Amino acid sequence: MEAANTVNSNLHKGREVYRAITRRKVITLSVLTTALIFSVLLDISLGPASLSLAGVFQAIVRPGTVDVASRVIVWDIRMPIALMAVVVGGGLAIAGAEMQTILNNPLASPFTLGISAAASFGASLAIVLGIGVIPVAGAFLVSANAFAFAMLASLLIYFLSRLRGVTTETVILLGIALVFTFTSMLSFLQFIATEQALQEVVFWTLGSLLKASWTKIGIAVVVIGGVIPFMTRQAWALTALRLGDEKARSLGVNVARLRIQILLMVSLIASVAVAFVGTIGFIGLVGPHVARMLVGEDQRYFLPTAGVAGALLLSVTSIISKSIIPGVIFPVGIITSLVGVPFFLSIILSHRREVW
Amino acid sequence: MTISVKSLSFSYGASPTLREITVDVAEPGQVTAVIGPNAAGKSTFFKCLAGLLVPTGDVMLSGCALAEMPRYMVTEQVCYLPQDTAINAILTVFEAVLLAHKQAATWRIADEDLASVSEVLCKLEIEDLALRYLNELSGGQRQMVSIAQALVRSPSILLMDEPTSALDLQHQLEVLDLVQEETRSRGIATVIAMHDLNLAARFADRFVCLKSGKVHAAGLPAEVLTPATLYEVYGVHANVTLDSTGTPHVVPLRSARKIARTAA
Repeated sequence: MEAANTVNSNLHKGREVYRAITRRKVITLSVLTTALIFSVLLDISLGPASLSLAGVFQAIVRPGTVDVASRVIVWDIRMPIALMAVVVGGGLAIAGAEMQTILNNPLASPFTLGISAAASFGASLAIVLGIGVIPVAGAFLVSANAFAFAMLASLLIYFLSRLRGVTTETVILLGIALVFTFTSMLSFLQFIATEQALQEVVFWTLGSLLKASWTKIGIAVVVIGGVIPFMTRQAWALTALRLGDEKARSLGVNVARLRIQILLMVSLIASVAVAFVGTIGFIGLVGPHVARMLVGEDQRYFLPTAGVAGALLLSVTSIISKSIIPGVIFPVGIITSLVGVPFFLSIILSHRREVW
Repeated sequence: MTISVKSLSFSYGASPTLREITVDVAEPGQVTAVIGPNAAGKSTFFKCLAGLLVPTGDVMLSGCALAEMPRYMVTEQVCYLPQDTAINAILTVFEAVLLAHKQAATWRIADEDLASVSEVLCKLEIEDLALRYLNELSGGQRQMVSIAQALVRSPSILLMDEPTSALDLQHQLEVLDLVQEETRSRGIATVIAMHDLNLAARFADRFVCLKSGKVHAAGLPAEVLTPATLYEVYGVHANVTLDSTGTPHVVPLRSARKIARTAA
């Protein structure tokens, strides 16, 4: 009788504590998701032809009931840009979150590991010299090249990280070396480029959502959406990894295999994200930290929160990029740091506990 | 489940860390203390027992070679608590213990999982830490959480590498009492690496003493903790007395190296 009471009491306490932990995370994720939906609608409503939020909502839900001009503006012009911000922002943040997890380093992101720099070089190679490493033509030449070089950088990191004696710190240093290498080669291309090509290269490397199209969104969604389920299946193993390699291994996690699998997956996500919009540096670094501070590192909540936080950051950036000077859309790559740094600092300073 | 090793050797580089060790390590319901000076190979020995390093020779679990057992079975049966507790994960204590209990297996959290976690936190009297984040805890509190992570798994073999090194005297006694009680009541074969010889003598049923990667002595505490062994293994002169229960008590006197230096 006493034993049964003890078991019931433990169960009651356990449920209470677990509910308290999960409730806070679910509320946080719900608030962020609501903010993201609102941000996307606002992003679509803003532009030279001003639309009300209600008008945007109606054009999305019942496109047949609005005039042709509004329908074209919403569906063909602004929605691809707004959704590209969500897909790329979410993808970069998820990639950054998992890079930080598997490399046990708060500075890991697609930008710091040289993946973005490699993509910029690949894109510039196509723009300046017209060289394409993947046999595709037309509108996708630049993106395909950016993707190919981003994957090349990722694979280089992947193969070198498999060498005996290579630690996670070495991988970060290798990434920094790649950043410098590709940045130098990019500078060389800029030096020999024609004035028009140089302008195009600079615009590409600044990172812009204006390159968005439904086709590009479709490709990005298929790739990123295809990879995420594999990551979510590894949620517990990835959480265990944050307890340290030895403890994770003693819990049955094949640490080496997990690292390699996740590195390949995040490389794919990051490569697709940067291939279509250019270099956007801040999201992949900050999105995960925001998520970590809000919901902790239980990957079942951390991964979706990082994705939504990254999407929200880029969506807000997209709104700001249109609002600084009416009629002018600044490249988001310029705005991300300007918006993200104060936001990031305010979160860090308002949290007293150590976050890494 | 018993744990023993046969001709166990391991090397990180050219010089071997463990050399041809053959010893019956622990039996169900028994606590074995592994002692020895720094760099004797204790942590490496534990990692070999846990299957985290691949040595030459055999680690045998109830007569079966650990190397031939499926990894999931080893994870189920053997729980290894590493020495390093410097965790910087942003996880609550409850989540960290739940994670150990689920062993990275599935997303579904059942009522019995929550009850098990709550039970072990109560037993260790750390239920008030349940909602605190690991990176906010003191070294001693983190060590208590690590012990909770080990106990919640209900293993057949429990390997703890210096589990009380960051704990105060009261917590050392309480934790080792609990480990001894769990070992007896659940029939666990427990192996603990310890530097405090008197604490080890008080809680362990058997001693395995390592020196330079070899077993120097093994047996009952009173058989291993002798002035001669302490001099040969640690290089110290010590008095050893037996209390009324026959438990040895070590009083270190002076370092033999220091005496030699003074004489020179």
